[in-house]
Amino acid sequence: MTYPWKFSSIRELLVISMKRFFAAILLALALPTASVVAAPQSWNELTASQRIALAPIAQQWGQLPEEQRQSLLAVSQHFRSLNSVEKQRFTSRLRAWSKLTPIQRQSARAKYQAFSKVSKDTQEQVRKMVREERAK
Amino acid sequence: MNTDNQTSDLNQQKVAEHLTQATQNLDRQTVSALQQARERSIEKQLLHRPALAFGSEHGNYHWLPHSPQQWFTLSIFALAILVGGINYWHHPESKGVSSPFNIASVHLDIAILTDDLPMEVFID
Repeated sequence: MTYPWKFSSIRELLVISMKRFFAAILLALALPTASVVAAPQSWNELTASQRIALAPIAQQWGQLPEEQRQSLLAVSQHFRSLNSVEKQRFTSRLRAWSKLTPIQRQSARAKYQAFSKVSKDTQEQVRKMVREERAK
Repeated sequence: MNTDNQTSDLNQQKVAEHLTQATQNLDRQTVSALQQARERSIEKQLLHRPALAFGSEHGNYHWLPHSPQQWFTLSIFALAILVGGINYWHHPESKGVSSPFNIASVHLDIAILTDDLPMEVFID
């Protein structure tokens, strides 16, 4: 025979269930951080828009270091917002850019940053010089 | 001395038997009253229970786990946080300026790749 007072009350049961539920939620929040971040993405796992943006380096994608792939994925997110001329430049330069060493890319960024800090007049003079040089 | 202990054990056994028989023969009203009293007592206990504490079978609550199950759960939870934290720390996006693809780097990369100046101008 079982005695009614030996059963837990519904409230007690709810409290225990809620505690376990919140523990499970916290675990669920903590574990994906570990798995998603570390998961490498193969070319086939990329979204259609990522594949369009990164198409010039599709062949090399698998050989690129994980860090560079992450970097390129971040860059590819902005591809859609570029105008047609910028998209053309992006596509034509991407392969060469991906072949640079990390130090070369870092150096190029530093130079570009320095260039963007000079006056607009100076920038325009440099652009004009380069255009003239290329036209020769 | 030994006889005293045996007598005491027998008495306890008899008392337990009597109590069990008595509870089996309780009328509905008494059972209902006992049940209500128990529920009221549990409700009071729940109100005074700390939110972040480990419960034991005896209704006591502690700040530290004291059963293997609680230690196991806490260890799993701590491990999950540790693994998540380590991965977050090692993930380049969570690092500072030296990261190869922090937001500033991403914008610079796009600028270099799309500027009307050829990319070679900025490459050594």
